[in-house]
Amino acid sequence: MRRSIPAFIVSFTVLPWLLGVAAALAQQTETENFEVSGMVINAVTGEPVSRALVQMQAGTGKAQFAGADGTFVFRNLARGRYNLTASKPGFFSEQQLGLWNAWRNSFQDVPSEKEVVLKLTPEGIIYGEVKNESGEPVEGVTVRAQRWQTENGRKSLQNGGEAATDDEGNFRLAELTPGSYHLSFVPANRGGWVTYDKLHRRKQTNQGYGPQFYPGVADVESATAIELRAGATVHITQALSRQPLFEVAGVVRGATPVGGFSLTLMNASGDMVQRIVGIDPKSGEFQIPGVPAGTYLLAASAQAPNGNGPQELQVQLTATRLIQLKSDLAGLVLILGRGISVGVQVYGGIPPVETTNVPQVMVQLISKEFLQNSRGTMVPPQNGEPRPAARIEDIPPGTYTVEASPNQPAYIASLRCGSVDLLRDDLTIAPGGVLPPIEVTLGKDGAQLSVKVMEKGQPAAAAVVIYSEEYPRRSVLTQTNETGAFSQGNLAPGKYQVIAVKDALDLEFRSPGAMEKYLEHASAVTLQSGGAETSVRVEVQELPERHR
Amino acid sequence: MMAALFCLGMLLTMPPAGAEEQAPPAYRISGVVVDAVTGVPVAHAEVSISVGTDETKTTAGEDGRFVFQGLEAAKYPLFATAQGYVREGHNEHGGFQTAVAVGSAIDSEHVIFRLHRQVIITGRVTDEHGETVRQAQVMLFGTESTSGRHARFVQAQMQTDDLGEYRFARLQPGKYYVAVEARPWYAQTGFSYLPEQDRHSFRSTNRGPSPDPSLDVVYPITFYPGVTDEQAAGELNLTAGEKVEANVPLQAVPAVHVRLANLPVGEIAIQIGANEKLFGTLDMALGVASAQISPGEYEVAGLPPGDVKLVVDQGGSQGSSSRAIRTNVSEGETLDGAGTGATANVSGRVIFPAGDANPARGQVSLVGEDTQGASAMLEKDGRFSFAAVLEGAYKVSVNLPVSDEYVGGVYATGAKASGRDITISGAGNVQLNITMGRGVGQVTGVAKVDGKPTADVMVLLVPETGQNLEEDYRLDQSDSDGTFALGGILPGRYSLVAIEDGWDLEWTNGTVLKPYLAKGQTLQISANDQKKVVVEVQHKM
Repeated sequence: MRRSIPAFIVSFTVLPWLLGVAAALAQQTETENFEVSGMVINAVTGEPVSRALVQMQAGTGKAQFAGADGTFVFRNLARGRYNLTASKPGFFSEQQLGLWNAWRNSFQDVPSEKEVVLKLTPEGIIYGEVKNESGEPVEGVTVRAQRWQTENGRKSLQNGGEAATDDEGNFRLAELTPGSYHLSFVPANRGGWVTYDKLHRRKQTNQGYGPQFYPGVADVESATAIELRAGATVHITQALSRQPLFEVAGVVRGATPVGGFSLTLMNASGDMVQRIVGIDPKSGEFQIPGVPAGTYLLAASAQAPNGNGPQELQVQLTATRLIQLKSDLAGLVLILGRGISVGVQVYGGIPPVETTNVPQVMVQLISKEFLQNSRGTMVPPQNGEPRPAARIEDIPPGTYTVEASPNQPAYIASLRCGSVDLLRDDLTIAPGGVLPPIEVTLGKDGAQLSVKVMEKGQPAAAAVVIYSEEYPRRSVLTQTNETGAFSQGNLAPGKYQVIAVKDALDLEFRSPGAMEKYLEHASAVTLQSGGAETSVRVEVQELPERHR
Repeated sequence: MMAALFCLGMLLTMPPAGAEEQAPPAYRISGVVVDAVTGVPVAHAEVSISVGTDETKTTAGEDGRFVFQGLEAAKYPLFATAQGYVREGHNEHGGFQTAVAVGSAIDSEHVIFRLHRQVIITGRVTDEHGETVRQAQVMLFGTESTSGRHARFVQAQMQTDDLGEYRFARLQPGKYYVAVEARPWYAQTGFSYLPEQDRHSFRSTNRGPSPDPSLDVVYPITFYPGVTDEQAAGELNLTAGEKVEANVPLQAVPAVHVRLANLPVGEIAIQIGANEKLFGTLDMALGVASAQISPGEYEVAGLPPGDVKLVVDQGGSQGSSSRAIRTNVSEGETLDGAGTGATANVSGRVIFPAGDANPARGQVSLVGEDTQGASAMLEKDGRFSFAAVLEGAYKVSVNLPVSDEYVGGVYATGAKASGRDITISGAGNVQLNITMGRGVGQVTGVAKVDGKPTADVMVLLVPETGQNLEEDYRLDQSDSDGTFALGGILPGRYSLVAIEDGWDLEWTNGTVLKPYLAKGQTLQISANDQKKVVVEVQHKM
């Protein structure tokens, strides 16, 4: 049976919208015929957003447009909990912004006295033009808006948007979330590079445009950040400056004159910077001219000479070298090989040590220099597989942070590679290096910690870091709800500092340097293996400073 | 000469450039850059030549004059650009240009480089509410082509920005058409039917939760100035230096839902896609959704109304096949997915050149009209067998991971074979023997008029039978000394013609080409042949 629309909805159109928000429109009837209404507003200005799409995902997947005044009503609803979201081009929902409480906030009880307010945050826009020293537009420059983001306690430069300059040197980067951006400019590579079976005899041009950061510096550390507020539009004029260009030269050994090899030179943003590669297939000598100063990964690859059986799969031979380029670099020797690999062995729960029936562990090598070089594997490939060993193949030389995360309740009791304690130290891999296996030992007798977060005497929602000074890489970050209470299991026995902060989106919670300032107001606990739950109360700390 | 530097490929290998000389004689290239339309010198044009890894740039003077000095004897591709002009090669015709030959007794001092003022097309894409449409795919069609066909081809494409705007610059003067493909940002594609619970029932009548009709919408592919019929697309005929604004308003229309019945049931994975053909040259993939609603019956949702091609892909462990159903879809229609023709069992063997059997990870494909086709994995011994193949005409191709081999011949029992083509009629068993060849031929030579080497001429090599023309033809433009080079030629009999101003000839049309062939040269090319020829230039008829 259907109820007619309550009469007071009519009054909604004559009330100013602020009053409308206060009005509760959920209406209970004997036939469970309810409705939910609300408004979509601009999170910055508080003004209504017209014609946003409001979606009710739970159940039937209803969707409708909000009106020109931002209001919407879903009718004929049964009693229950509904998930409501709004979207519109040029705006971000709380979920899209990654707010920690966005998912919970999106649920709406029906019936309810509450009017729903869906906030949309307007995008930020950076636009402008790129010129050369003479003030002429430069076409085809890749412009990236990059920002430092902390994910799982690890800070890295992430790409927020990318565009290329047009024939007038103009670019536009829209759909940027609020934050602090570094703009990088990578001059055109005309879509690829050319490899010649010939070496040049003359020195190439020694000046040119290399990748650079706003406002015209070579590296991100000395770049000026652009603070972009929600809804802001920022105009940038970038004059590219010529930089000295250098040549990288040397020899690649291990390829056949017929099969040849290919060479790439990649910077930390993943751009291929070589425009021209000269190769002498007979001697393996190579020249890559026109490269600006910087840190690069030089990579050679070739197909292995087709050996014995016809069924043999093609084997890729590789050689990589990390290069700090400050001047012409000659005499590099790259020896093609099957690449560096490392074995991974997982020992299941102690006590006792097992090698069979162990849960799966994700083991990752995270490159300190080039995020693209990071490698990972799941050990064993199938849950509970009897031979829990694997190899991570084709690892470029460099320095790596090793992380192991079990997919079942367990903690990492130890993580080693030969004599290197990977819970404390990074793993350095030299070119042509041979590594002992990475050994992961899982612990199943982990400790249980119960945390209660308080703020001015009241339970409060907060981000909580269970920080280990001894093994910072064992630290854990979680989020409490409004009750302030939660319980964390599978912690390695040992001493911890428990820290509560309001917002931990950018917290490098595994970095001793970043955590040091919170330790003074932390609550210390010592956890015993397998024992009873330990309880701790912790007061929310103010952030000493914003460190975005 | 092919303008190698224009290729967007990742890796491109140039042959080694001959013997090393000790003291290179100092030859020069000099000339003047002029506006292609007015003939007036273009001041400060950037001119470059390249050979090997050496790219040399210079800036032309106020009078448009430029000089390159100290050059070795060689052929130099020459490029120029200037503010407000396109970037192009010397006498460029879509990737081919007249390289400047330098050496004793060759005049390389009077080059006239005709540079074209750029054409710019910009515009804004809006929706039915007048709001801008972001991330709309804008396709620019033009008529310029070196493929010997008179048609409209995609020249460039890009996405609109947050203002709904697009911009195509550095275009050559000519005729252009703009097409836009986009999805309403708010669209909610829904299915009309829920999956049938009773697996024995054939036809589903179970109405699903209907999506809100005002949200279950699509934008049909729309042409400037806002029409959905490509015949009515507005022509932008632009002369050098012109700039036009071509705005495209989109209008959302209800999405069409159709049902496809009689599709296979069981282990076979089925994927249903949809294409729309634009100007006969571009198969534009449309974003559609499909779901099985009862065994062997699928609903396809999110279709635009009108002529579309539904493509049904079937994947099995041994290979896959696809067939196309051309239709003018209308709401609620049920189409027969089984196809009309009979199906044949096709199997066979790939025979590799002696001592070179490496079929690892290889694949045999039958490519028919309208994306109809099938593919099968190669077994270790080179054998293959297809799942059921619909009757029809196919081209046989063999894809090997790393190989310079090509299909040399196809011998069939149970089907007709000719060259690399087979025709399957009716059901039955078809046995194919595919022999692979290796080693391609090369033809180099000089184009001459009355015994005199002639530059800028189109040199075309076509298979004598006309079969596989669009794959096997080779094309070049004679350089300033009249020389040309055609490489990668599969063994066979060919005709070679050189035609002055032949670039806009529709030479894929047999009747257009026939009178030229009468005066052409016949060449028998075998594997690894290197033929040197002189070809007499014909005037355009």
